[in-house]
Amino acid sequence: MSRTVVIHADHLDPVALRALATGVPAIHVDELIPVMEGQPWPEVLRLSPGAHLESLFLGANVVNRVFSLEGTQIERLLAEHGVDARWFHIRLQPLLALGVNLCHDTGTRGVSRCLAPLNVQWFELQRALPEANTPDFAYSYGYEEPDLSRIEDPMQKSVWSLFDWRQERQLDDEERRRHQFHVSRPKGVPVIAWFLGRDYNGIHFPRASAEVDDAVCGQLTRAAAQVFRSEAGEMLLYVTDQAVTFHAFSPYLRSVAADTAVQTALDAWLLAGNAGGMNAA
Amino acid sequence: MNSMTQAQRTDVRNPICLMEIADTSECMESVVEGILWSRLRRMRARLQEVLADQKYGVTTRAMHQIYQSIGPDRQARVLLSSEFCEQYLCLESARKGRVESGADEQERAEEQARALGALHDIIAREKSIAELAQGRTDRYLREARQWQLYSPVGDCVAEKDATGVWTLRQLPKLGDCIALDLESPPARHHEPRSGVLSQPCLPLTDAEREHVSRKLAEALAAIDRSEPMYGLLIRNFVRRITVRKSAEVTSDEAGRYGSEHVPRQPGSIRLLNTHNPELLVEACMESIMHESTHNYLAAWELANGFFVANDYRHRVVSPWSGNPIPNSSYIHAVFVYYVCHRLLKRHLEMSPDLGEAAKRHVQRRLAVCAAGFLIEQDLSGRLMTKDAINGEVGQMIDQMQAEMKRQYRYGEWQQ
Repeated sequence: MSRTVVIHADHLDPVALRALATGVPAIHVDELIPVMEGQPWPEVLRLSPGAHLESLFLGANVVNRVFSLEGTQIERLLAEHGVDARWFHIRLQPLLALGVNLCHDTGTRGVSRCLAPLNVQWFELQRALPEANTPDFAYSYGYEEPDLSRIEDPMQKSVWSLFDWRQERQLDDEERRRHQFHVSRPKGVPVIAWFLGRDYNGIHFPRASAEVDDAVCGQLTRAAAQVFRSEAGEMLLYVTDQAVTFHAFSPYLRSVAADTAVQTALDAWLLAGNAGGMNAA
Repeated sequence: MNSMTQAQRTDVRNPICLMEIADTSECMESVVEGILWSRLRRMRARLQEVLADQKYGVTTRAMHQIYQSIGPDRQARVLLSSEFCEQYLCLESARKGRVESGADEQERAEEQARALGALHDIIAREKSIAELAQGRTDRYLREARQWQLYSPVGDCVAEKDATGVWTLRQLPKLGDCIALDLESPPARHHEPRSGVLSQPCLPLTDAEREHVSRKLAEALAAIDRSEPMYGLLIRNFVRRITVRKSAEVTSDEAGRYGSEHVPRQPGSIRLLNTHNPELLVEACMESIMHESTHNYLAAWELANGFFVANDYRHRVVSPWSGNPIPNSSYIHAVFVYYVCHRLLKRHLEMSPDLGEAAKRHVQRRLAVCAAGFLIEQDLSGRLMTKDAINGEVGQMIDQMQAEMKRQYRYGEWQQ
């Protein structure tokens, strides 16, 4: 059985918090500051983790939860040296690659497969699972007006905003006017299917309960785990009498983190040491 | 094996030949020439198709007569102009019913008539300019209501004075052959889809014109010094550089730089706010190289078909810009950053006396160019198409990624 190690960038990250509570090593990115220094091109950034850090990651199941550097000291350090955040992920890669398994690709938003925008999520999920239902959408180019004639009850969204489906709160002025993204307003009951590992663990009902087909959830989970390189995530589904429609995947687990059942499952998952994805580093 | 034998073996219909250009291999010149010839032949065949279409009647007969009456060099100028390509694609789109959704038969007919009229005008204009160059003013010019008429490739303009006398003026040229267009109708046009031409269009002062012209000439000269074969590439594939000023230098908006190439207008590139003195020569070098790379790829695609079918609904997140972009733009981006990285790296090596600011800028841009390649996922795996893509295309972009990973020792400790 392998050990698990978690690396994260948010002190309130639900997986990191459970790791700390259960004694599983959880490294915050700011702990890397003493072993990181800006360098002239072509090296750009150097990470010299040292024997202790290397031994933590060597042969472990690595859970990468560095989704954004926002608000970290590392972010400020990189800015001071004029180093793009992408180089942090580039230099993190060999450390994470010491593990036997890696859950979540390294990379910034849109680069890591677990941080894809909505249209990419829908495309990739359907590529893996052609029978999956995803929302209708229109995506205009530049400042062109979108063609909404085929979109039933359209609403404008940010392509990056995963869970705002009643009212979009993340649309900035630029995205409101340029490359407009419109979707069909969802129908049915929203449910969150969450998973740790390759099979789905449970359902969370943020508004009302609904009958959800276990087999469909299982298929969606396996497809999502594969295409988003994740074994710890949540999916927003809308359920009607006729269909289950996949709306979004997120590795953050924010919707379900407060649920005691989820925390218990997280503890067991982290301690069992079988965390990690199929994309062995 | 000598270079001639290698060149003969390079099949310019196979996209893998594009790597010969990116890597400036010894058979690059023959590949460049091969692509240009195949593009010329393809455009000629497309014109012949239009001219042979009986339903266009008198218009195409007139076009045919004018076209036959101009010399082969003038015919080539028409066929290789971005205006001709753009209007041909409009006509083709309308003929095949691919105009914007909801367009009915009548709208398609109108679109065809407009495009056919534009094609006729392009050929007639080139002929009139050829006549004017010989000191003759033909009926097309005599009856023209405009005061200025630009050649389809954009290198010269016929101008009428108050007495109705027409004269021909050459536009300033970069690298002896690329027209610098600061004011033509296409340069002033508003295009909602364009990142550059959707911006306000302000007139450049004389000093700003001088500044733009000098800076772009210096940029091209620096490309020639750093990687002469890229200079050759630019001169072969770029005919016209249009420059837009969207803000006064004193405004914060003047720092909004940009450049673009539009696939339906091969041979043209557009630059935004190059007049701002804060924009370095090195930044202009990269913009010219960036857009010229799009141009040579677009020229190959026009002759041989697109790398991948474009579906604007599905866009790949560029690992360079972080923006969602169409599949074909993404494939272009891989080439663009590979080529720009090679150019800037050579520039750094060849310019030991480069000033500190320029050196820092180049190093920062090299890090940006490299970063998009240094990701876990194969670059070909990010393409969003359910159709099979040309295997060589996937192989090429992964090959460029592998080369960049090798150069930067990706995945290794950097100690």
